[in-house]
Amino acid sequence: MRVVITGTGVVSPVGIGNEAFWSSLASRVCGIGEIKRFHPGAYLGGEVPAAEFARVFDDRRLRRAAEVTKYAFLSAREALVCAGAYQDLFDASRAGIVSGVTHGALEYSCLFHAGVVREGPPGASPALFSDSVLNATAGTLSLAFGIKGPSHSLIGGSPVGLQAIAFAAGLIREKRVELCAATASEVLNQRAVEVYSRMGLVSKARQPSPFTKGAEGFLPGEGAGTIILEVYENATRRGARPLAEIRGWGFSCSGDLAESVATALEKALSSASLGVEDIKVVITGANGGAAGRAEGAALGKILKKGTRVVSIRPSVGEAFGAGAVMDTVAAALSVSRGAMVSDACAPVEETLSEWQWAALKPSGEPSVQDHVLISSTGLLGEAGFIILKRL
Amino acid sequence: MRRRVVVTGWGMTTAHGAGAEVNMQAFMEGRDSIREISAFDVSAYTVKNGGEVPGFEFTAPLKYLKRKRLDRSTLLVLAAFGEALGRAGLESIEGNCVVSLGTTLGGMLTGQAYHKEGLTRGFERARPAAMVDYLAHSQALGLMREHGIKGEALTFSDACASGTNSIGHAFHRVRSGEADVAVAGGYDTMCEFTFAGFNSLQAVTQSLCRPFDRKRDGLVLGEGAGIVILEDLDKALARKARVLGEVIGYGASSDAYHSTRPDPEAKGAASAIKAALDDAGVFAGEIDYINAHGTGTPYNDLMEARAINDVFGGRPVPVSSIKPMIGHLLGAAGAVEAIATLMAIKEGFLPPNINCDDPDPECRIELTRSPGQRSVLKKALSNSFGFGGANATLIFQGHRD
Repeated sequence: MRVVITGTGVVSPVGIGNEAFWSSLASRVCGIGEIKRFHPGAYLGGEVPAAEFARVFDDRRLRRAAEVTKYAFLSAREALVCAGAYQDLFDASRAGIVSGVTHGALEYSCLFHAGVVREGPPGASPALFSDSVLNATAGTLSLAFGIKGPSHSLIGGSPVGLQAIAFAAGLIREKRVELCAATASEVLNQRAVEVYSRMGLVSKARQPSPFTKGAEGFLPGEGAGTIILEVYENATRRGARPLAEIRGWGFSCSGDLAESVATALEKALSSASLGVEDIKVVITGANGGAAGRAEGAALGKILKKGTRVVSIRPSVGEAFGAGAVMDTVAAALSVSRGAMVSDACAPVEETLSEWQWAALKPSGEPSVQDHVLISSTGLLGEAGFIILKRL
Repeated sequence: MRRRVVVTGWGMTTAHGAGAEVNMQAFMEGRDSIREISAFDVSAYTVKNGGEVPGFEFTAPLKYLKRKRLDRSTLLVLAAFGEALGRAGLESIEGNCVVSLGTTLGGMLTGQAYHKEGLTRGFERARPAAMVDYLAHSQALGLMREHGIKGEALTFSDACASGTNSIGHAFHRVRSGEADVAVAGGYDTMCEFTFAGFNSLQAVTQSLCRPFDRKRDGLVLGEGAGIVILEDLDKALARKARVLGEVIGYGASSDAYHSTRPDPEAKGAASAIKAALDDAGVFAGEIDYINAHGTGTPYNDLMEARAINDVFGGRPVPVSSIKPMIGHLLGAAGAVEAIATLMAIKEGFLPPNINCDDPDPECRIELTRSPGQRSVLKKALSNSFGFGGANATLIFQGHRD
């Protein structure tokens, strides 16, 4: 059974919507700047432009929802429209949703808890509580779009975005649903950024440089991505234009990140019936931090010389699970348009990798690559891969 | 070809205490383990009771994890897993494995302590290193690290259906051959964050949790963990493992109705039960016992009764909820209740639905109220329904050696 992507949607620091996102990536727009949402001037990161988001977010049903749910909603609506499946154009009981979550609605959790600490039981807000639970986004989206099949929220580090997509594809392969949305969303939160900074994980540079000498951390980011998945035959029968095929995936976790990367990649290649020589392009979640460096070193030992590796983290920041879905959106747009996502990394000769990355080609250059590997690793030693195939 | 998936190990810690034997005895007797909460000051709350694990301490030596940095949730998981592993006759989990856990809170006690410290002393003085175990996937990854388990880690947070979905998904992975063995279950701790939240929603009772009773007025919160080891039947038999039961069906659905209230028409819940029956390839008439979600809230119980009546067509299937005994364990609820259901099949007893003195006539179900009832159970079903309209059902059957 061929599972294909029929719709994508994105909310990112470099643009809201597929077209703005793609255009920014193709022209190396950098969305990193001083974070304005809290403690202005204290932190750098990739922030979704608030004014632009307020302009395009128009659904009053969700006016009280947490920002993380609003981002997800907007990306999911665009993805459904893109798939031609918006508003009752799918069988609700045969549709599902899988949400990848790293931090969830932290801002609501903090507000709720602060109310309890300061005022005791009367300070507990029922609205904040119900919207702060980790599956609030999936529940709200299933309600907003009338999705009545399985609804799951998977929790994890950055690879959870890819896990959500693979899980959704699995539900389709198992014939438990016919259409499934995979989504992930992340919002910059002061407490999270403070903690990561104090743990020494956040870069002090104005732009993180994955795989380069001197890279010493990531810059936080935010946003959301949604992918709509269907069976190829169903999609084409109803006139949808599939963007790419989900060819395979693999995930692994062990005490050693290099081992996790090797095992997960082997699983992904095996499930896609591909060899490592078939992978010519990698969109990686490497963000300038330690996990990305280890990922680069591990991939460098496995992938063939000449493989092109791209990271969009220098443009959008590290949005954890949402970042991995944004990577997949970028990959799907890339293969469907026959063009490469450009990279904002430092010059290739400065790479730390034991393996020589191939020179990156200029933005928007035509690409006839059949497969794109999307790669993600987490701070706790987890690794995940998805392989997209050009249609 | 589909593999058969069996349970070869289980472990649990609840308000009844640590260990499956202690819990099974208490489930048979219908013991009430709800007490005044001691984990935090409840004097300002109108509701004061909950199902805390009494005197829980995890003292087993740790190879890799640092005990001081671990949230109580991780310790509950390690304790339940250790018991399950031992019961399965395994020293470690080897081979193609998936670890699939469910939780609503993860390490919330750690997050709560950090946030409280920051709010009262200033965030520059709060200790960020303690936050690593706050993230809700940290417990699964910590378990894998400590026990050298290699494989895919999945953490479900589907509200009160988390534990059921984690087992259901692991079951499908083993059945399809994607994994040879799975560690599955759920966990959650008693913390003020959740307690205050459920209080604010007016979902907790000031008296007793009485599912399906005419006077039911809310749930009681609990804490704990339940872990099962799932294996391919052939592989389990090949290594002469003791088979405790078999997972045969799993179904999930969404209400798409309301963020916290269930659909009163019970369409989503009925859909999950029907999906599980289809998945198992059995008729509703083959089910001998239903372990209900049965929270004791007016909305949930009536909705669940409607779903049962819709699917079972008025056939008198024994139904009970164990929540009045140990509380609502949130992310652990589905896992602990799955184990209780497997125990009921294996030992041939019906867990009693205690505190129900006046069954709600609107519910029209065959409630098992008194303890000590014996019954031959071939197949049984366990329901979980959560916030966000997440519904899930598991079906089990017994296994003869």
